[in-house]
Amino acid sequence: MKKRDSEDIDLYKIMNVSQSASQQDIERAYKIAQSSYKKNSLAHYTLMDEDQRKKILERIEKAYRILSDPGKRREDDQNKSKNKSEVYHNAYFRSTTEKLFIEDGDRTLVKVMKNIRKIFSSGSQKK
Amino acid sequence: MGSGKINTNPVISIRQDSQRTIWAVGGGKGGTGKSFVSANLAVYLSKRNKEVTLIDADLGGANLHTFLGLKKSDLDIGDFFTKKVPTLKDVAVPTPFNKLSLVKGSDNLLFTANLNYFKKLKLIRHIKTFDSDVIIVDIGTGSNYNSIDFFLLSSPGVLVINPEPTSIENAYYFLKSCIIRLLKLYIDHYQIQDLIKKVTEQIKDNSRSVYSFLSEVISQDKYYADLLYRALKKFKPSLIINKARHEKDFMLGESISNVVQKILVIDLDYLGAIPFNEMVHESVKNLTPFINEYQDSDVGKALVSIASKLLEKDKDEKKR
Repeated sequence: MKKRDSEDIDLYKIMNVSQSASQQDIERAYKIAQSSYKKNSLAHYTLMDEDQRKKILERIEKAYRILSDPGKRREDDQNKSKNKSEVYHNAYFRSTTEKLFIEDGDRTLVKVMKNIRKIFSSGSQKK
Repeated sequence: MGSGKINTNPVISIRQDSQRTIWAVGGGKGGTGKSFVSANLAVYLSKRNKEVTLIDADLGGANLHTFLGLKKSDLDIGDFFTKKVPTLKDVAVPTPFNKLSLVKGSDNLLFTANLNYFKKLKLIRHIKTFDSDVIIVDIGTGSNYNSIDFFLLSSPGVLVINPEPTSIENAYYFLKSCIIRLLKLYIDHYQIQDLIKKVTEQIKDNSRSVYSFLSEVISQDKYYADLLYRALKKFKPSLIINKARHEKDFMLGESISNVVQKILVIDLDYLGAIPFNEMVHESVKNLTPFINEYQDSDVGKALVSIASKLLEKDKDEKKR
């Protein structure tokens, strides 16, 4: 089983589609994403630098390559359900941290997951 | 952990009161069409038998009355601030449109453009007392505290922008200011300044995003990270692109929503684009609300669609 890179946990979230998205939905989302993050798009004007823009576009391209191929998409879905327990400790963290970090792509995710594991292993829970 | 809630913050308490339908229309930059959208939405909804109060909170640039074809009235929002009348309801005047009343903005520019904190709080509290079906507040231009707080108090705030770099830049600046203001309100309300100081010391990256900030908070205190995250997710402004001319202008709204969600964490709902139409300019010159005469035009249909989406969004929010 391939160990997932933290940046690629949820391709659907990267593409901004639901898990039940049709091929048409994925194509449409890809078109919007390309339009949003292309070099001279007004949509990201002043909101990010060139490096951030390229990084996001790369991840979208990667997500699209997988999700637009039915075989690869199926494999990704299967891998994701197997990896769930590996990446997340419980549903609470899945809902909070997943939404917080799923598209961040920077290294703080690794640091945060280490801290979360520490909380669980120490048995301390704050109110 | 912070020592807990001490003061009742009016912006937070108003946001927690989900029963009022208050739409604050803003956008950062001047001339994008906020007043046009505010006035025409109000007229349309009143024609649909909704009780509507339209409030001109463009402090220093009041002109909603002009869009409705009203001349200067005896009473305006300035009279409320100077205590000539006890309540904001006392300055609401009827309009030519049944079920639509207007709180006219003041022409006392020096006074109302520089509202102090307590007067602003008083205005916000009184806005909440109207028992209309819909309260539409035109908050005017800029990213000052007054505009931001009025925008944050509404559900949802409606951002009106044009498909131009200057308008988009100002809109992003406005949204970022709203986010910072909202986070600060919660930080002060829950007295977690020490936690945040520790967090900001940890963040070394200069291009820190909202995500980076929240990730550092969660590493220090997951309870407050969740609280701040949920506060941001409750802030769900809406977006209108006004004066759209080309096909790419009509598509721009979805792109902007996409980008804002990734970079600023908040969900920005794209309501639609209003096409550029010379007749809009004519209707303003003639002092008549555009939708009253041209509801079947492309602009009229766009406004109708936007109004329906806003009502639907409001209904969904209240169900939560």
